[in-house]
Amino acid sequence: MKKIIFSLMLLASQICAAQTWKMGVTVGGDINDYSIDTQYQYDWRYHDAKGLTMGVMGQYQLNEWFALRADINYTQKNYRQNRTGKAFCENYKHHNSYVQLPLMASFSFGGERLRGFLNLGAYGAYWAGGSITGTTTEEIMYDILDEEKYDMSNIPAPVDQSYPFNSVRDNRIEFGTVGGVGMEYSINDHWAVQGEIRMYYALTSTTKDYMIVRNPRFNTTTAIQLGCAYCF
Amino acid sequence: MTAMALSSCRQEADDLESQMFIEGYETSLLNCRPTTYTEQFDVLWNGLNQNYVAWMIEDYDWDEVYRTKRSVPMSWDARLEANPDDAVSDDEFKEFYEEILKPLHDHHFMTCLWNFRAKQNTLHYISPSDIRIKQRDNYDDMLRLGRMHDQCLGNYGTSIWTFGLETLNRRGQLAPITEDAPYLVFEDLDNWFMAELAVIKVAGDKYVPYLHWNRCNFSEHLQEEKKNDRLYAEGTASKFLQTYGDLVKKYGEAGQLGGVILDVRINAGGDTGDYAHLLGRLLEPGTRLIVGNTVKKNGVGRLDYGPSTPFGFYIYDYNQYVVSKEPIVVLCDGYTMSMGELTTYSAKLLPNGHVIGDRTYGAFNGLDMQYDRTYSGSFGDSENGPLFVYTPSYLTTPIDGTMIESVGVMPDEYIPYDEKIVDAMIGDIDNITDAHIEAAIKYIQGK
Repeated sequence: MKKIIFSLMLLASQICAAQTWKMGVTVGGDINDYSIDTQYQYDWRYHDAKGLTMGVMGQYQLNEWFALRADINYTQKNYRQNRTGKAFCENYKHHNSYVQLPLMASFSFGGERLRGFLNLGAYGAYWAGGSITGTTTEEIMYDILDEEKYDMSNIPAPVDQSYPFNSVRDNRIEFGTVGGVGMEYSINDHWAVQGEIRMYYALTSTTKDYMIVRNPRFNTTTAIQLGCAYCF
Repeated sequence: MTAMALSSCRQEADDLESQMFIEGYETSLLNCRPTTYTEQFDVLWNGLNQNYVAWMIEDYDWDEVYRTKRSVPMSWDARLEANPDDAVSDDEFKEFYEEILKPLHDHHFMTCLWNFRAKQNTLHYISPSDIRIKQRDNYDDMLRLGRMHDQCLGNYGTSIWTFGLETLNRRGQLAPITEDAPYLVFEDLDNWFMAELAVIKVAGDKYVPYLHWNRCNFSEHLQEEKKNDRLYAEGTASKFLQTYGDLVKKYGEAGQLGGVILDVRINAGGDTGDYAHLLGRLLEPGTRLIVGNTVKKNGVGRLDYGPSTPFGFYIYDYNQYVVSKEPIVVLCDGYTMSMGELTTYSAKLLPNGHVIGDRTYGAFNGLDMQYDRTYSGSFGDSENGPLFVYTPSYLTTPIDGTMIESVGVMPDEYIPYDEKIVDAMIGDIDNITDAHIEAAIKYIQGK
């Protein structure tokens, strides 16, 4: 028993010796996939859309190969929605802004200056805002004798409006898993730059479970980001 | 492997079936043709869950209806299985569905439900708006007038408004439209459609064109006339509407126009295309009159809505006289519905518009029977049953943010029907006194 306690104390002292803090900023682009079952509404299509991601990161190095990392970032989870079946004009881009807090275990490997790393963890996010741009079908009524316009399904009208959140429908809190791989290059004892590809995989729907019948929707966001960190 | 493991953590969607209505294909309307009361309930519940456009304005727990009420049709089925003679009575059937549906606020919404497992397959109409209208204080007087209107059209082939014009003519208050005609009538009695056009003389050598129409069915006639190349032929809708425009222009250009009265009392609504030829013929061509905003469903969820879009009317150039200085008075009542209400509300938005009468019906949302435009709206089998739901696809809110759906448009000059007013309108059809027309004349003369 004494041996076990001694061994743990030795390991702990080694970990403590390796402890360092790292703080930095990240910026990049992302592409978001919105997953929804459109059921029988066969001509509604959802497409991936690009967005921005930026934030700050903090990393607590426990030993040479293992660290705990937390970010706070602003990430856009955009997507496009349109109809293909007829000459309808519904063609929207949904712009969604999230504030995210990913918590990750960071495993690193490689040389002294250039090291690869793997981040695995979970995240929570808050859907801070949204807007819709694009076109919809005009709802101006025409004379029946004006045959070209009377069939109002084919006249586009511009859309540019904020997304009206509905407390019954919208789930503004998102949880999911996050994982990423990247490389870090230490410029000197204090400064390092890194690049990472990271995926946020939501496990909660953007809509609440407000109906007996379920029709959940999920974001999957892949970000490519560059970072710069200061090692204390 | 990881991706598969993660995706299994995501909740799956239920499989949902479309509930649709396609005009002309009445026999293939229901994906699931109910054979039991429980299935009939399920199709109704799911259809409304997916297709009903007004959930955004409802404060009604539709899930709770499923949880607590589905047991009733289940018990009916169980009863019938135990004893095929133990039929569900029509009263029991209707009472159950009325209780479920009456909280809904869309005033176009109407359901046809067949008590199809009873010995006599009886059809029941359930309309929350009908239930709500009956609760108005002056419903009895509204009903008396409405019945007389139907009686005149159905039995005599004329309308109470025509009788009203006869009285005005006898009193010398009309300026004849032609040598032979003190007023004009357009009628399509097969479709219970009738319109009357007259010119009322008012003080100061002024003239007031008066137009009443009980449905917005002109578009259908115009289209038919165009197809048959009968445009502007004598006695057609186009001729009637052209005369209306010409009269306004004639008096307007002569400086003798006192105003215009558009009468949409007991107007069941109809085609939005009519606007261009009615109120539209008084407004500035090339403009758009935006009266509200509309949203459509864009998903299967109860609260899946697309962005909001301005809703309004395009004003065409029919070489009209633009009535911008003289008052445009719209007369309305509790049976002014849908397009009739859009006309009424539009007048309230005009600087020279003035609305007189009773509070309108409150059916402002938009209908079209093309299911795949919005994947919402009406569904069911209107021919064979066992259910058909008539309901809008466009949730329309007025531009001033007020609530019209289920509430109605409140006139600027509120003169609700009461016993005295209705007696004066229908008590002696050879000597009619119309309080709303009198108020309109008084208003115009005061301007």
